[in-house]
Amino acid sequence: MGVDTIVQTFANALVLGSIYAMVAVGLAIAFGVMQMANFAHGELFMAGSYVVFALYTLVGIPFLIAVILAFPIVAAIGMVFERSIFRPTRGNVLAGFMATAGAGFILQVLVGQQWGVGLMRTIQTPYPGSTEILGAAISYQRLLIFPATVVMVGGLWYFLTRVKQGKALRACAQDPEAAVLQGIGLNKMTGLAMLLSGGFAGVGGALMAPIIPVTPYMGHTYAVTAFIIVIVGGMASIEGAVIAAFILGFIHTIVSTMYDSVTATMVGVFFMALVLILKPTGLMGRVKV
Amino acid sequence: MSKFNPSTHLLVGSLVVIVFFILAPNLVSAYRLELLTIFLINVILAQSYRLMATTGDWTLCHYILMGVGAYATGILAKMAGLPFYVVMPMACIVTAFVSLLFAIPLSRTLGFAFFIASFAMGEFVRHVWLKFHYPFGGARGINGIPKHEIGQGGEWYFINFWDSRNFYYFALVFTILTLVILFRIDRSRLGNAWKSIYTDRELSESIGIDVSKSRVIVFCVSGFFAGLAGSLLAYQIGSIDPQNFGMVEMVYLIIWCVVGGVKTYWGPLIGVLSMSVVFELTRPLAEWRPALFGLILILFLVLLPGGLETLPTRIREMLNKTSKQREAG
Amino acid sequence: MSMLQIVLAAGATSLIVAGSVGGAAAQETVNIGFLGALSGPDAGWGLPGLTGNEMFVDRVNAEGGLDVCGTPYLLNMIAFDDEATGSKALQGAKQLVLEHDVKFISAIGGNPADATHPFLTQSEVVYASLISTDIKPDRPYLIAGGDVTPRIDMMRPWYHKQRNPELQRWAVLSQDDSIGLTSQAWEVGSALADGWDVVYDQHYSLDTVDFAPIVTAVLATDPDVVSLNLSYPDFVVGILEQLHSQGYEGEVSANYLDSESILTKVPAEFIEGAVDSFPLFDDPHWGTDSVQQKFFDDWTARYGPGGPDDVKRGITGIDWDHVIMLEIWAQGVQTACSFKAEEVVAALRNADEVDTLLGKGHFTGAEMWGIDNMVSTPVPINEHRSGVKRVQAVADFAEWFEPRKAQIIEHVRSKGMMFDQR
Repeated sequence: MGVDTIVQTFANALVLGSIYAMVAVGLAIAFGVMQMANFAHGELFMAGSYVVFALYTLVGIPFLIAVILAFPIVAAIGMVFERSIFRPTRGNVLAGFMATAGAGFILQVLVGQQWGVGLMRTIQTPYPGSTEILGAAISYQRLLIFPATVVMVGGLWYFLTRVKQGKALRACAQDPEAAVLQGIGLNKMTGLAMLLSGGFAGVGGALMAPIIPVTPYMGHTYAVTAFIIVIVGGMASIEGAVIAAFILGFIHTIVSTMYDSVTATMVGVFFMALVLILKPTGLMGRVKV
Repeated sequence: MSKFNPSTHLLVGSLVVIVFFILAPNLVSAYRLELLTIFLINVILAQSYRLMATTGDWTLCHYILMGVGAYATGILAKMAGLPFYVVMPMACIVTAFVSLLFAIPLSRTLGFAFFIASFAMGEFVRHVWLKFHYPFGGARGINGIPKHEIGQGGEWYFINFWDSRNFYYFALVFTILTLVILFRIDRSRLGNAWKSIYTDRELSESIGIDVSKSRVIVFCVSGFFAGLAGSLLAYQIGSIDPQNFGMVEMVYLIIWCVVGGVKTYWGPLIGVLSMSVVFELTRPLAEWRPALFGLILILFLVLLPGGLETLPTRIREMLNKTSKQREAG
Repeated sequence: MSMLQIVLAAGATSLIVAGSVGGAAAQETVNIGFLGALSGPDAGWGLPGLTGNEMFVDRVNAEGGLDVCGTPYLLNMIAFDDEATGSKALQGAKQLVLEHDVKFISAIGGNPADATHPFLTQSEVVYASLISTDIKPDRPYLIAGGDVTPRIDMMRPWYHKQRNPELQRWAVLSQDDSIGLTSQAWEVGSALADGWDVVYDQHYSLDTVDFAPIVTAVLATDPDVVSLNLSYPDFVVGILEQLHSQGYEGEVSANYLDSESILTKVPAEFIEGAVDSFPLFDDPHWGTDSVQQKFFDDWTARYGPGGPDDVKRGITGIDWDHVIMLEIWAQGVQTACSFKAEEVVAALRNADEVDTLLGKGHFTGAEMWGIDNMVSTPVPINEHRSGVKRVQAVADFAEWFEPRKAQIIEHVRSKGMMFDQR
């Protein structure tokens, strides 16, 4: 393997890890607050991609603006999930989880009927061309994903540690009863968690839209991986999700390059099983899964 | 007198249903008969799922276990050329064994983690089918699974299972057998012990029930019947591939059990029946159909989590409530 | 019996009588099926085919129906989405045959062909696959060849060598399914026969969404030509995008390149000279008076921008890829004066030549497939010029194949892909 292949692989892994992180962080936030497990998280990712398709390709709004708009739009969908599904099923994690599976079906059909199921949507690459880094050619489009993720996750960290609402969210995740006693509205917090969850998934999908085939069913693989990541990282731990996202991103990319993606997924699941056996709370988790 | 009524109702009801199913090939078209056979297979699958659900363990890998039975059947029937009376028991045993392999690590987890981990393990198996061309056929799967024949051409007991009517009766026999066996298990002391695990785990432990071991056993028995369903499926459709056993199918299984409920023995049957009817009736909806089923799932989980089997009780409660309100007000 | 009961009984009886007598005067209709991927990554080979078929059906019906030795039959097409999976295809086949009694099925082929075949053969339905690799002696009613694979895929290595004899390293990849496995075996055998070093010969999973690692692995072998063989249209876009962004500067070759979607990801210069085999029908090569130009004009009028059935995309090679076989079947029916599968296929095999959308063809193929069910037409070879495909050559397959066939068949056999091995 030449140096340029190694660098290329490293770049690929960084991009994959970033997307995984964007998707998994949302899942970790939602689960941390009142154990909201969203089966349709992949569909939120998909919704983000379609926001870009609709606004950038169909309407002509600049790409970056479309990506930014993906946050509130998909965050709103997340809040609808919270209000209509998670709140009535609070306390029953499985029920909420399965109900969101139904919501996933609905989203897939809505998107498919609106924009067509058959041929995938190809989105004009907003930043065509590539640059050379240490002998490996990396497209500008992919290059912007890692910094975008850093900015988003950094912003999240700031929000959770410095902003009042964010600190309330963390308090709620750690000890809901104590938080309620302190006057923090539980419903507000669950709504906020799903807002963030949807927003992050949406931006992830938006950034990836020019890179991967955009179809109503594209979210499935990312959802599966997101769940594996969150289990490995610790169900409610955001730091764990980010770390696990990059670890799994690297594993998947390296195995894919050396063998194929089917083997890569199998290795990922195997890794998850290993973590579950050795440390059932996940790498960074406190909550026993 | 009131003590006898439920069982006589049950008996009469079952007889009517059984008579209908026996006469079915004469009542419906050839294509519908194929659908009915799939319906029977789904009944076996749903009932086997209920067994686990009664101990509180809902998994996301059950459909894959059916796939294990199907693949075992495909491999043994097509590649080894074994006859059905060897293949089918072996497929069931293989599935029970794979269930055991799943159950051992899974029994260390509970609730949501159990659910997700079962999902991941199912995906692992599905990827094994995708990856290994030999013997699973990779993405192509296994085609041309030979249907069986009993006897030789010319002998009076020759039965050719390529005829969909013959295969239908074949499946019907196994469905009735499965329902009877699972019913007996459900009503037995063992069944009751297992149900108590769901109601109160610690209490069951305190009266001497080994919860972990019970969960594993239940998993394996459940898997055994899932394997049976898979075996019948493989023979019925003759062609299986990993896409057959994906997440969408698993969600539909969950829909049947949620809609029907799993507390009573008949819940899953109600679920499979009602949802199969809805599925056929809503065919004109075409691409909108999955959205309808998604909505059904959400509505049931939010509004009627116990499923249709609890509907009579809920209605009675509502009527009592309104009549009490009328009395009070 | 009360008055009411008598009235009701009379009403019911007359309804029953009317129902059973009515309909005798209606014209004969024959159902045909379209069983292919209408969604998912393989939809690029299925969904567009509906337009060509619809145009044919509507045209025939407008003329009063398909004239089968004096009796006109209206055609009615019923589509079923099998998502390129075997089990769904079998379900669709059963529905189409048992419920709709179809006499002919347009399909993509591959896994679905394998899954549906004991059933369709027993039901005696003519099945037109896009890929000739599906033809086998135990499937007497499966015909193919209107789509020129794998003949074109076998000849592409030769074509590239003709263009630039100095090139030596051939890399090829396609998805891991029946279609990819068989056609790639034929392509590799041919590349070897034409003196290439095949430096990469692998299949990627159907689940792949991110082609970056795969393309990295391909480029690590330093190829002169990267061939995508029969990669699904969606995958082609992903792979080319990666090739471009990872700095590939060699030649590109594939069975089918959908220029419109590819150009959203890579600039026209990148695919300059890229080779495929699906000519556009407004290509000057055919001529303004040609059947192909007429197809293009009719298609654009109906499905193009502003048309009544605007599909919001440009015309592709697949829009005619299915109807080419449908038209051949119709000719067979008219020659045989019957819809019976055996007679139709026999008529086609015995004909000296058949009229196809790609020119005159005749049925052959026993050496490659064990049975003469492949219609061999002239093989158009395109190159991209400024982002548009243009026919550069039309090749004669038989002439090219004859001296090479022993070596190629031996290679395919070694991969276990000959018709008697799978």
